[in-house]
Amino acid sequence: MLDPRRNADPARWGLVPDGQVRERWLPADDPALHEAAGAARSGQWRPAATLLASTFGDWDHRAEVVDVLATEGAHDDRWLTAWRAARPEDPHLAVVDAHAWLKLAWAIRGEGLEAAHVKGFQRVLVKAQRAAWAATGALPDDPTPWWTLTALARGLGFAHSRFQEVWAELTARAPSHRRAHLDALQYWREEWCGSHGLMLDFAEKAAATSPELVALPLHAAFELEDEEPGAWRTASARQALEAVLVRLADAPDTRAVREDRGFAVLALFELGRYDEVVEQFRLLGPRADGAPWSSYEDPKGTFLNYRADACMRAAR
Amino acid sequence: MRLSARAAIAVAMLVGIHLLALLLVAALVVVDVLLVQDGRFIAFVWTNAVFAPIVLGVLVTLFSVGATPGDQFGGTVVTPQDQPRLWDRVRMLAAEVGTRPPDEIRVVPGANAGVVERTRLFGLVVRRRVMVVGFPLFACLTDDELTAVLAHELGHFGNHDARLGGLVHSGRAALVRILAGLSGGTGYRAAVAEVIAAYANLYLTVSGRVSRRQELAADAVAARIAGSRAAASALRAVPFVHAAWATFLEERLHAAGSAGYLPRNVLVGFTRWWTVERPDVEPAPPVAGPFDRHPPMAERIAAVEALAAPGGGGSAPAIDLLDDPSRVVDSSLSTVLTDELGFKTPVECVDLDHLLARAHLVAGSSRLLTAARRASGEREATLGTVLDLLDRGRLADLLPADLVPGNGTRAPRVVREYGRGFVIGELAALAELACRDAGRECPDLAPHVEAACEDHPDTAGLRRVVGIAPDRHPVAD
Repeated sequence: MLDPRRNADPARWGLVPDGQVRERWLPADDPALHEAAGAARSGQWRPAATLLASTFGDWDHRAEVVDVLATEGAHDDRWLTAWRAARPEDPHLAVVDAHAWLKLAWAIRGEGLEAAHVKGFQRVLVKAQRAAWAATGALPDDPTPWWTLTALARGLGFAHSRFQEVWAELTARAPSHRRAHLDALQYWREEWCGSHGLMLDFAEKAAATSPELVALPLHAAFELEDEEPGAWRTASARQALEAVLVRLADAPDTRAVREDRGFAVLALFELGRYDEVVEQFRLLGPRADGAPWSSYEDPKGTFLNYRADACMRAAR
Repeated sequence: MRLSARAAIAVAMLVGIHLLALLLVAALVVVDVLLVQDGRFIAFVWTNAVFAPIVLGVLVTLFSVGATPGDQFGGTVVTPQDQPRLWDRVRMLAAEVGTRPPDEIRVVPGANAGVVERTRLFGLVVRRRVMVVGFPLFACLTDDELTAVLAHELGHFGNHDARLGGLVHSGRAALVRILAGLSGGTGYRAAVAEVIAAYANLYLTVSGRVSRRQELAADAVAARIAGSRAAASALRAVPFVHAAWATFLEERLHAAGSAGYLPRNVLVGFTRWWTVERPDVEPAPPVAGPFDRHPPMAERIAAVEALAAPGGGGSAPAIDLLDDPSRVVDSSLSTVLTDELGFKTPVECVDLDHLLARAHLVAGSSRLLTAARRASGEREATLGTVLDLLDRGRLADLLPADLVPGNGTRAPRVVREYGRGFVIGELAALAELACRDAGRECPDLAPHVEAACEDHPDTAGLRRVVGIAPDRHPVAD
C-alpha cells in the first residue's frame, strides 16, 4: 500500500529532503561559540572567557553564549575551576557560573517530578540564586544575571512582588531581552507561579513593547493548547500571528527568527493555512533546531510530521 | 407502618431465608428424581455437578454463621475474678436495663464498645452474649460516660419489644457478614449469591428503621441510667476517641513495630499523649448509607438532652473501673503488636517519641555509614570516619552508586552534585544522632553540614558543634 505521507516528495514543494533536516545547531552559526564550547569541554577556559567578555553590550547574543557555555559548565566544571584559579575576580566568570548552577539544577530535576530529583533541584537552585546575586554585584550593568534570576524564580516559587523587583532590574538594563521574556512567560504559567490570564497578559504586553517580541502570544498559545484547544484561535493569537508574518517576511536567518517561524508554523497549521505552512518550512530549510521543536520528545520527527502533513493538505 | 409490625416482618423474613434455602434443596431433589425416572443420567450428573455445590454452599453459609471462632473480637477476656468492679457495674447495668448480663467481657484494642451475640440459624438462636469494650474508652472517658456507653449497648436487648428487637439486631449483624461472604463468585454461584443478596438487602431495608429507632431507644436507656449530661457528652466524645486511637495506632504503635520495638505500658503512653500532647484529631465524617442503622449524631444528642434525665455529676476516670489497668491494656494489644514477625525490643511506650525519632535518624544515615565503612576500610564507621573522609576530599567515595539525575545524564558534575544532596541529608541525620546521644542541644547544624560537604570541605564547624575532638570518634549507633 502506498502511504500518502511517504509519497509526499518534499522536493515537489521545494523543500529539502528529510535526510538533510537536523535538530542540532550548526557550528557555522557561531564558529567562535562552537570553538569556545569545545575548548571548555576539554578543560580550556580562555576561549570562553575571551568570547564572553566580547559579548558585553549585545545582550541577546550574550545570552546565547552564556546558555551554551553554562550547559558545558553544568556537565563538567573543570574549566570553570581552572578559570577561577587563574582569575578569581573575573566578573564574566561570575555570570556564567551562576547560569551553570541553574542548568545543573534542571539537569538534576529533569522532566519528571520524582521527590529526590525535586529536592536536589531546589537545593541547587538556592546555590544558583546565591551565585546570581553575586554576579549582579560583579557586573552591575549586565542584565544577564538578572535573566538568571528571572529563570530560577519559578523553581524557587518567588512571590509576584519579588519577581517584579527582579523583572524591573532586568528590563531597566535590557527592555526586550528575548530569553528573559521566554523564562518570565514560564514563570507566569499556571503550573508554576501564575495563571492562564496572567501569562496571556504578560505575553500581550511584551509583544506590544518590541517587534522582536511579537511572537510571545504564540508561545503562550503553545503552552495553553493542551488545556484550551481554542488557544490558537483567539483574537490575540491571530493578531500576533499576522505581526509575526510581517516580521518574518524579510528577516535574516537567526535562531530567534527560526523560533518565531516555528511558532508561526504551528499557528498557521491550527488555522488550516497549509500553503503558508509549506512556505515557512521552505524558509526554515533543514533547521529543526530550537523551539518549538525542542519541546517535543522527538524534535526532528515532529518537524517532519508537520511538514509532511502540511504538504498533503496544501492546495497545490 | 407501626414499628412492631415492621419488626415482626423482619423476623418473618429471617425465618424466610431458611425456607428459601430449603426450597433450593427441594428443587434440586425434585429435578434429580425426575431425571433419574426418565433415565437421563448425563443430565443428572451435569445438574448435580453444577447445582449441588451451590446449594451446599448456601447451606454451609447459613448454618455456620453462629459458629464464628472465639478470637474474632481480639483483645483479652477479663473474668469476674480479674475485674470484679467492671463485672459488678455491667451486671448492675444489665439488671437496670432488664436484660441478662453478658457471658463474657473482652477488653479490645479499639475505640468501640458493643454487645455481640454468637448466634445460630441466622440469629434465631442466641448461644452466647459477649460484651466488648475498647480500652481507649476506659482511658479517655469518665466513669459516667462509659456507663452511658455500656448502658446503650445493653439497652439494645432490653427495650419493650425486646424479643423481636434483639432478634432483629442479631439478625442484621449476621446478614451483613453473609453479604460480605457472598461477594466474588462467578457464573451460577454468582446468580444464587445475587438472589440471596437481594433478599438480605430487602431485609436490611425493612429492618433499618427498626434499628434506627432502637438506637434512639438505647440512647434513652443510657440517659435514664447515667444521666442526660453523661450520655450526651459520651456521644460527643466517642468519635474523637475513635480518631485519636486510629492516629496513635498508626503513628506510634505501628511505627514502633516497623522500627523493631514492642511498646510496654501503652496505657500510660496513650493517656499521656491524649492528655498532655492533646492531639488535634478530627473524627472521620460518618458514612451514611441506606443500611446505616445510626441516626445522625446531632439528632441523637438532641434527643438525649431533651430527656433531661438527672445524674452524671461525677467525673472519676473510667479507667478506675479496672484493676491493674496497664496489664489489661498491654494484654489486649498483644495480637496487634506482635502480628509482625521478628524479634522486637521491649520499650516503655512513653519513650516511643524519642526512640522513633532516633530510629528515623539511624535509618536516615545508614547508607552514608555503609559507604564510609567501604571507603575507609574500617570495621565500624562513625561520624568521625565520615568527616575524616570528607577532609581528605573523598566526597566522591561517599556518593550512593545508583543515583540517576532527573535528565538521565552521567555527566560528572551533575552526578556529583545530585549525590552531594544525599550526603548532606544523611550527614545531617548522623550529626543530629551524635548530638542526641551525647545529650547535647542540637544547634542549627545545616550550615556546618553544607560546609563539610563542599568541594573544599570545612568540617571544623561541624566537629565543634557536635562536640567531638578531631581524633575522637563517637559511636554512632
